[in-house]
Amino acid sequence: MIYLDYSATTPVDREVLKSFDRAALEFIGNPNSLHKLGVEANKLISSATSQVAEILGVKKSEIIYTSGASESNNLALKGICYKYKNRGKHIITTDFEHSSIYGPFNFLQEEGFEVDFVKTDKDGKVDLDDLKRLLRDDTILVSITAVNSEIGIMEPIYEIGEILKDYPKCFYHVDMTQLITKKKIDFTNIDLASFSAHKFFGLKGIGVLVKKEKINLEPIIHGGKSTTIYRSGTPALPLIVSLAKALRLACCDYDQRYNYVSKLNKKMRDKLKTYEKVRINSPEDGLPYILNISILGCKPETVLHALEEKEVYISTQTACSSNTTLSQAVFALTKDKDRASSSVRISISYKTTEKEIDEFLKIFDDCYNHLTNLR
Amino acid sequence: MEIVKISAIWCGGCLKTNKAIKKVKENYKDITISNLDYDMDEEKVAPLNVGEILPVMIFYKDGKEVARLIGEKNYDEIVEVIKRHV
Repeated sequence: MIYLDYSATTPVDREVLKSFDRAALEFIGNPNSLHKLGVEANKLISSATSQVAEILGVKKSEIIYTSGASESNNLALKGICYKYKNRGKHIITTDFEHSSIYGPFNFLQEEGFEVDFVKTDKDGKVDLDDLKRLLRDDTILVSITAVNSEIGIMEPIYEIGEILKDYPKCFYHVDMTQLITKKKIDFTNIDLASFSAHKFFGLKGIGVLVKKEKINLEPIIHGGKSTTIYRSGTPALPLIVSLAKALRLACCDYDQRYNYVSKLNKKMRDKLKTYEKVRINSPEDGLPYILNISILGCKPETVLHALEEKEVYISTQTACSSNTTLSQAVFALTKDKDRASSSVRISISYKTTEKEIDEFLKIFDDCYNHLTNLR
Repeated sequence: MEIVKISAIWCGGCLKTNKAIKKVKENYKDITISNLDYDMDEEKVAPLNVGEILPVMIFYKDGKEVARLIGEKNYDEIVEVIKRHV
């Protein structure tokens, strides 16, 4: 099997699973219980949270555990808008967000918030001058994805943070889901950031919202204090411990892993662009872990299933949006319906081997010839 | 005249178009504008053959479809269709 769908999810690391097992079996108390078992469980959560905060370079009190990035995104956007609506009702985003950003934005628009989209350039990057033009006294939130999950566009998140420093009434949320662990992140000028563990060999069902101390949020799950006052529910101790472990294992050797993945990406890109009907949708300076291509005239699901028959696993568009075959992100970038309705995503990790890429390219060649000769 | 808009919660182009639709509602109060959700109202959406690009706006006059706008549109583009058929 050749797994090339790491941006959808990653297989759990055995060490992470062991941490989960140990925490679940040995720390049975509710961390909020006052007896010894509860106190021990609480200490373990506290220690795991310290570790998460230290790795990220933020304060321990700035970590909110959630069920995943979608919940983190919802909590950040709705939480800010509900809490600060008296300051203004203008919010800004981009054309390249995940459905868990557009969902809350749609919801907030229905609630009377005014939504603006910042312009992007030919590579999908935010136009900083247009952002400055859009910002107003009543703008309370800018939400930008660090990396688009389908194409791998990397947004200038730090430059945007610098601009927003001059707008103290406006909060800055970054969806870090595809970037976390792939590059060292500086949270200095970022107010809120979302991610989930299953994108870096952790377990599904646990995520984080980093929220700077000075900021308040209206919870979206009410019910009293958990690990924080912002998200109720019994603290998911084994998942929290496993997230800390996954983060510790993943957040190292940034440059070495990034360079290695870049090399694999280049190998695929150089080969795939030689095919007459292949178009490369990912920009050259995108995140190398993601390579989005279109095979003109071939339906994405046909390509996916042809590769699947040879035990190669890739994605059509992001697994989280729709049952249409047209990629919203590729269409927004290229304005080309043919490309948008024939795009597939190949996503790799530092665990992908060069041998796997060579084998994939051979299998792709067979599938391409077969599919394009059928037409 | 009646406009039926088909959109989805995950669609960025729909979010953008909603702003224009709001203005149309304010300026053309005699036009009925209704919304169908691509995923939630699947049974009603299926017979409309909306294709792959959202949002879709279908313009009806006297119960008959007279025009269709596909994809993200601004206020002027919607008004142009209205003026052509009213």
